[in-house]
Amino acid sequence: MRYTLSSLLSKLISVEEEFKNLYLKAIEETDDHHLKSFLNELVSDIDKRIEEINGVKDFIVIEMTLEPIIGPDLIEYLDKAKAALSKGISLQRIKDVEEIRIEMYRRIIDMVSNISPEAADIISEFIEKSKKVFEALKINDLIPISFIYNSRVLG
Amino acid sequence: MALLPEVQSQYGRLPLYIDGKFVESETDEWLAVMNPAKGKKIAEVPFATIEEVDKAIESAARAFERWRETPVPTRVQYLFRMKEAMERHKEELARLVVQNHGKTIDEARGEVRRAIENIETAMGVAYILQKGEQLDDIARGIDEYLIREPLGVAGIISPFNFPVMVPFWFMPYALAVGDTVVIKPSEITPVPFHWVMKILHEEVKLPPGVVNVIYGRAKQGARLLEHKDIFGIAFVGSTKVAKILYEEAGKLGKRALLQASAKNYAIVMPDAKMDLTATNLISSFFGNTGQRCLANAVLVPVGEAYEKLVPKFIDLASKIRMGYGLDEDTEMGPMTTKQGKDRVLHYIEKGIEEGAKLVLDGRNKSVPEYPDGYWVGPTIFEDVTPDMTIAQEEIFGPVASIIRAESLDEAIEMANSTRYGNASSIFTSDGRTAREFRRKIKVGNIGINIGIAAPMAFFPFGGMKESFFGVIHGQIDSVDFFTDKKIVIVRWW
Repeated sequence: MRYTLSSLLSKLISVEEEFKNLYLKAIEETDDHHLKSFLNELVSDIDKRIEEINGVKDFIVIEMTLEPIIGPDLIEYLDKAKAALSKGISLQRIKDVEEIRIEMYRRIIDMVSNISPEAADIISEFIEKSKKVFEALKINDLIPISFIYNSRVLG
Repeated sequence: MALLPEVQSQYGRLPLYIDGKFVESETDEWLAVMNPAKGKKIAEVPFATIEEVDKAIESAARAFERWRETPVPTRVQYLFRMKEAMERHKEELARLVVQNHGKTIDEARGEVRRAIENIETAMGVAYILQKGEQLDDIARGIDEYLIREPLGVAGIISPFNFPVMVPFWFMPYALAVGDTVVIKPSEITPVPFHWVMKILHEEVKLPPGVVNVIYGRAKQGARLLEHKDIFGIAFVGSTKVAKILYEEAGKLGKRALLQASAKNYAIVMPDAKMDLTATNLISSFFGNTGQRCLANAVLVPVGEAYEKLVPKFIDLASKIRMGYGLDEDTEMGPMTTKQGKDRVLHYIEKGIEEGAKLVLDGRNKSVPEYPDGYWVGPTIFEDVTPDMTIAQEEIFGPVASIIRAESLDEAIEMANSTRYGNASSIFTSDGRTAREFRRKIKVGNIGINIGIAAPMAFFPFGGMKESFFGVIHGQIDSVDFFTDKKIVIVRWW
């Protein structure tokens, strides 16, 4: 699939919105209060990421590097996440979804690193944060996300 | 992807801006302003009467007397307000550029960002470059110093292809150093700059007469130059007009800074990173629908680079998505005018007639949702020779001519054979090759692994041969254009 820089970032925003909707639906479906609270944190974190992507979009356009961007349709990652959650809501499923998001971010970095290092930097930060969440989830502990982000041990 | 909304669908009859007020022109000559993707009229622009041009210049001349006395920090505060206002309205300005010019939203956003960057640079100029110099004791007890002074009223004539950015290559610098201006934006794409003036009027509130705007064609441009109160003209446009203005400016003893046409060559060496090179070249050749004085127009692969690069380049170009630029998925918009489209089609016919091989034909490309748009698809010729018209003349559209070269020297000789010297790029992994290219190529703006060598505001915009007339270049260097120097030698006894 071919993107312009703006269309790729807009697509990323809309896919992140969809990830958020998946988590909101999961919150409704689960009775596990710890998991609910953790998912709520993930939802707020997605809002912050969307804000950051919009911020990047405002300042990155430089005419020297407005070349076509080639890569997969980001919807593919969303479909994988939907498939993972269709089997029921559990900590393991959330881990699977977070792993899919990390995979998506890595692919986007490959696509934009030569065109917009600024966008690549922001997305690298998302990966670092998501990796920390993922590592925390691996040890099966629903630690608050703010704590995970500040941890030097995790990730 | 959904279309971004237009700011308005219609903009009516555009007013002139004289002495701090929007005024309806009394002219009988009006031109329809079009949305080139839709082929529909969105506004009408007046060709100002000579009396109106004179009024604008006289207002600027009156304003100059007070503006030059306005303290530098106060002038900078106006520029700061201008930057802030442009930041607040950047998205609507970008959409207006798309609506009137036809470029893509990313290109338009980049253009507005560049305009803002020039305001920021001008603020620095006011405090740094405008300062004079002093040397004490050039002789016993005698000091010498240099002061810069503003000159009066400058004329600015800007082209259709960057309707917001180009006036800002000059205007903020003129204002920073204490000059006042009369701007003649392109009559083809006047809507975005009209909107800029609306923003400046409502939110920046410059003193009346500091910035004035008139519209028109050759007659109004000539009047701007010849009026006694104008000290010089800053112009971006065609070589044909630049030459006329340069000659006239010489006769009248006025300053001229004239940036003109181009025919830019991109040289690709066998050691270039071909995938990255190919995608970068796509934006260089077809970005802004090729209507950019920094667009590459002739591709010269050297030796085996030909086989490695050309199939990729053609494949990528053939997949360019054309459409209305307000769709973020659009990669290339229409030509800005019907006449521009006809000119490009004429050059394509000329290429075929002179024996070049048309490998990608953009002549009959259309966009079904916009049947009345001025569409020309990406077009590529192979087997072009350096003497062909399409290798020498500026087409100003999405047409790439490919010429094979066997060595770097041969490629540079071809690039240097045109009468223009605006820009040229080389793609290579070898620093020594790049250095040799940089030293031998006769152009003002050089790209190394960059297809669009667009200088940032804090560097001058280069240009050589028939791409530039004058001594002082645009952007930051224009501080020299907008000021003169006084040398003072002092002894106190």
